[in-house]
This record gives sequence, C-alpha cells and structure tokens, in this order.
Amino acid sequence: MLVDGRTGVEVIEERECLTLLAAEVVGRVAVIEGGAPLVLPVNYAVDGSSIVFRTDAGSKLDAARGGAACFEIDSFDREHHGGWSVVVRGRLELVTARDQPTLERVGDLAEPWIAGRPTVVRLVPWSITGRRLRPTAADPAPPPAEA
Amino acid sequence: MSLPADVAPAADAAPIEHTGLELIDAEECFRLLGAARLGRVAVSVDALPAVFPVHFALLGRDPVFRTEAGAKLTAASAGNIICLEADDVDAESHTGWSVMVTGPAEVLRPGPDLDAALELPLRPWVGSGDAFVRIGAALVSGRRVVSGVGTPAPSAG
Repeated sequence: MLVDGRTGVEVIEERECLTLLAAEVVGRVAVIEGGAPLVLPVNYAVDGSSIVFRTDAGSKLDAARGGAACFEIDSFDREHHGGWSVVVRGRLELVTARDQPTLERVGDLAEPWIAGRPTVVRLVPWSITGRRLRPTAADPAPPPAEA
Repeated sequence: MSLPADVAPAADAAPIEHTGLELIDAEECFRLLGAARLGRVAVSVDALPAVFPVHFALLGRDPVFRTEAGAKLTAASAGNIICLEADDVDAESHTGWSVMVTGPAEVLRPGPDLDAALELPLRPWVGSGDAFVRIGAALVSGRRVVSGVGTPAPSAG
C-alpha cells in the first residue's frame, strides 16, 4: 500500500482510480475563471482515460476550453470518517462532430445533469490521483486482502 | 432570448436561467449550506485549478473548514479567492441542487472567531487540521434542477 508521505493518507493507484471513475456518474469540475476558481457538478462518462461531459455552448465550462481543469469524485462516510477521493487534472477540449466515435460511445452515458446540453467537452488528463481514508479505529477496517 | 415553451417557467415560479436551471435565492442557498456537511473547495495553484473534498460548517454565513499544510492553507494564508461548492444531485432522476460560495479566504487567528469555529462540528478530512480557514461569503449562487424542467420526469415505475 502506498502512503502519501506528507499527509499519511493511503494513495490509490491510477488503475483503481479509473475503476472508481468508471463506477460513478456525478462529479465536480473546477476551472479558473477570471482568476477565481469555481466548482460545478457534472454528469460524466469515462472514455479511455478521458472524462467526458456535456455543457451548454457559452457556459463557464465551454469558456474554459483549451485551459486547465480539475475533476473530482468522492465517497465519504462521515460517521466512520472513512472515504476516498479521485482527482483528475488535465486540459479541457471540445469534442467535435468529427469525433463521432467518441460522441457515440458516450452518448448514452454522459447524460447531462439537465437534458439538451449540446456541447460535449473532454478532459484530457495529465494526472489521475486518488487517496483513501480508512475508517477510524472505533470501526476497524476489514483485514487487508493480501495480509 | 426566449426559453422554449416546454421549459418556460410559470409566472409565479422561481427564476429560470438560460440553462433551464432554477435559480436559488441567497437565503435558501445559506439554508442549504447550513444543512450540508461535505463540500468541495477549489483553489488556484499556480493559476491551475485544484479541488478537494472538505467538511465544512457555517460561521455566520461564512463557510469554515479545517486543514493543514498544503494547497488550501497556502491559498488561505495568501488571502486568495476560494470557491466552496456543496450539492445534492440525484443521478437517476436528474434532480438536485448545487450552491457555490466564492470569496477571499483567511486563516483564523486566536480570538473570538476562532473560539466560535472551535465549537463547530468540524473534523479535518486528513491529518490534524490545525488551521481553521474561513471563506468570506462574498458571492453566493445556487441552482436547482427540478423534475420536469428540461428533462422528462422519471416514470413512477
């Protein structure tokens, strides 16, 4: 098991991050707009190692095309203080009609948070990282499978 | 600009923005934030966005969370603009809400505000969380997706 030297938190390897990403459907994407960060929830789909989601033409996410974005999913159990998060950093690109295979692959998966969002955007990752908190000692975690 | 007939709001309904999402007024935004526990904080790190899950609570109207050395604390120490978002989105029914608070961050120093923050039901996501960061709620906005707005209502069966 890898552990972050600074925080002591368990590191989730990229392969497992991709598995977690494939299992979820709602995430949050952060971009910088006018020097200030903002966060929006999105429905998404995974296409290869890219994160694909829909937005409106002229929206904040559409405006961020060509720039950097940070996408995050998590699951957290407040009571037991356990959970995980996966963060994908990368560059936002427009998926154009010329990329029909991608549009077809994600067409049914990337259901927009509201219907009718015509613009499809792809986050091309330069890093995929994850971290996991084990539940607190009061609720012992199951023994590691490889123990 | 006009909305398509099928998403046009009723005369007495909450305002609908161009995306078809219902706008949530500030009072309701703070009520939703006050009831939420988990949010996501976005900061700018070398002009690049970074997002982290945090536990937060409101001190007055300002979100407060605990952290330790790292990007969030660096941003707060510099008084940078931070964005906190909380939501409850149902992926199945396509309904839910999202509230975003944006403002300058600060690390609370010993004094009445820190004393009040210590009373909040907060725990850090990782580590000791020695620092309490407050986001001055300069801007707040919220959006809600209501069933039947812009998307077919889910069938009962």
